[in-house]
Amino acid sequence: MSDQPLISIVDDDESAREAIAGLVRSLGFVVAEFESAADFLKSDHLSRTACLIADVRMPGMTGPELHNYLTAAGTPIPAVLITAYPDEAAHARALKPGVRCYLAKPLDPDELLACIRSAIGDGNKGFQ
Amino acid sequence: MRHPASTARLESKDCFAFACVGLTSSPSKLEFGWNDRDAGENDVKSMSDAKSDLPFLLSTSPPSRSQGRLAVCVLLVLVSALLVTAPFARVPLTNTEVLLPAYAAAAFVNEVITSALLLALYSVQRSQAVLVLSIGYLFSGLMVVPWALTFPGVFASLGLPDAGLQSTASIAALRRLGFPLFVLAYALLKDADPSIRNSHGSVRGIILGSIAGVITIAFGLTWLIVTRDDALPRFMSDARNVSELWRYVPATAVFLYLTGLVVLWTRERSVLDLWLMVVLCTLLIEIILLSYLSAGLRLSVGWWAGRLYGFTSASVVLLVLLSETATLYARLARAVSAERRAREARLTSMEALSASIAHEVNQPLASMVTNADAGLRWLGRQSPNLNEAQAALSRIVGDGHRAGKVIEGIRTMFEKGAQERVSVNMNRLIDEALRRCQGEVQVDHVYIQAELDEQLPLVTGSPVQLQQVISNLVANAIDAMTAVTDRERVLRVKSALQESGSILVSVEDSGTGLDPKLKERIFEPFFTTRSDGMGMGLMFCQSVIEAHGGRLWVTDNEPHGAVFRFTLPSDDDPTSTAGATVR
Repeated sequence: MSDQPLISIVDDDESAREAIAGLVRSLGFVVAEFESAADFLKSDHLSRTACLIADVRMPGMTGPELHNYLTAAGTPIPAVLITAYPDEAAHARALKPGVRCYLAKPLDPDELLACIRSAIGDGNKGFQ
Repeated sequence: MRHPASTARLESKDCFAFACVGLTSSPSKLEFGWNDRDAGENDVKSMSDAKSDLPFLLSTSPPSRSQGRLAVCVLLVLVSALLVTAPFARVPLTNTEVLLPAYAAAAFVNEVITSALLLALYSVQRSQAVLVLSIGYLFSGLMVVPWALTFPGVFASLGLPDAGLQSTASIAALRRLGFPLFVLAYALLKDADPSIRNSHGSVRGIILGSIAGVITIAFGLTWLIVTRDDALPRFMSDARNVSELWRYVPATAVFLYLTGLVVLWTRERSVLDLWLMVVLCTLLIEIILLSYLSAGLRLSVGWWAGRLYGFTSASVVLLVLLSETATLYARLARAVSAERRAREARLTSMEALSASIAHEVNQPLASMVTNADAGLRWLGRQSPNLNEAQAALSRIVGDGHRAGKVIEGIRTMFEKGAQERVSVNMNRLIDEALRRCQGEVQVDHVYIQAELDEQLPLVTGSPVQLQQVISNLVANAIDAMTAVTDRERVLRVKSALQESGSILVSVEDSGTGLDPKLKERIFEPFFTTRSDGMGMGLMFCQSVIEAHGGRLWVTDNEPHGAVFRFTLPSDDDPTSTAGATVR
């Protein structure tokens, strides 16, 4: 399974994180879960992550901040930002190069799958 | 960088589940509770509360100590003026008739304005006593006109038909004896007010009718006096000197003034009563000068001095009443704007409440949908993965329970008990809150210090809501210290009685402290530095404390962390408004 693209999920809400992880796994990907951006940055999954799914609102570093940080550090990871409070302004701000999607919770599985596929590129399709 | 204490952690901590949601149930109580309680009350009861309904009126608000002092000052000045004038009282001042119209005009304006002021008061308070008093002033003011017009030698140059010798004195007697009778009627009526306050007819009609009646009577009396001079009592022996008969007029007047003073003294309740007593004292001094010290000699030093003093103090009284009215009006305006602000705050918190409920229920619902989607996909595979599907279903169960807890919490907050105001022992609430989070504290290695004032007076409020506030602040404090590793995690909760009579509760932590930029904003709705709360916690705490007549604020703790403090008016505090907001 090590050739499967790794999807890292960063969300401080435990139940939301587990639910999303379960869904992404059911879509056929390998998943790593992190409670905070700091935990993710510390982990050795960082370099292996093909796509990052991060919550927009988190204590400490937020999803968009994490994405910016990675880009600035020269290790950009395509990201899918998710939020329970979709709003246009935040959406516009969040959509930067490398941010594939900005999705509202609850996530639509097909939409999420399309976003992840677009993030990791056609060469690394998950299987359904 | 960010302070986790700015919101309470709502989920996944039983100890604080619902620390914030629903705290705003206070607004609904403010409106609905009042109606429920008063719906069954009969009119008589509400009538008897009339005075407390209108606490800002001259005729209902009690005089302050400084007003009492001012009244005494006015009287002292008058008495000394009397003493200074006394030796010269009988010195005649010839050719001073020309000053009389000026005096009359001033006295007329003075008394009519006073009357108008009292009529305005009547239109608000509907007190018959005040109506009677204003009629008295109007009558007295109106009668000044014929008094001056008939005064011998004043208007001779205008070619007015010469009135009889007794006209002026008769009018003076009517004014002199009429006015104290009106005051007496006021004093006797004012306590009987509530029962007869419910009078029929519109206020406008009553006022206009009264004014028309007084004018008619004043005209009628003047007409009678001027045309039937020969039928009048012989008050004057000539144009300047009074007869023996006149002696009874000032004597009766003095008797009436003294009676009025006694009645007012024993029944003094309001600012108006106080200044009416000053008026009666003034009239007493005036009559002493006019009729005794100057022996009734018209246009003598004593006669003029009496009128001047009387007029001056009447003006002082009028000015005081006017300024009191303005002051009371300002107080009223402040009260109204405070009430408006409170209502706006209540609306905001209602909006915040619905947003918060939406959020709290949405969060587990979203997870349930996502878990269900995952479960469907595991089952929909060619070889269904039952283990994964089972795991997804278990998560749905957990989320369902979580949503249920949210709803249960909301129900608890809206239960009757949450809105009832009773005497609350804050120390006990603090103890309870600290006990309920024992588990949390042990896991996080937080050291708790409680410094509670044993003598802390009770406060009036909702124990449920106040409990939530404390739980919320304690939860915030514990959260704020989770990131602390290099020093002790100390949670210090204190309660103390302040000199002002209100109680002060403080919750200190040794956490990461507050970003100065964020300090102002943490009480705003929707402000949060967490993702699992919406920033409702502190806003709710603040609205609960403010609804209880207190204040909540935050400062930095030394050397680390933050201190949240709130005050509440205690039951011992005479200026407490906590009760007033809900009754």
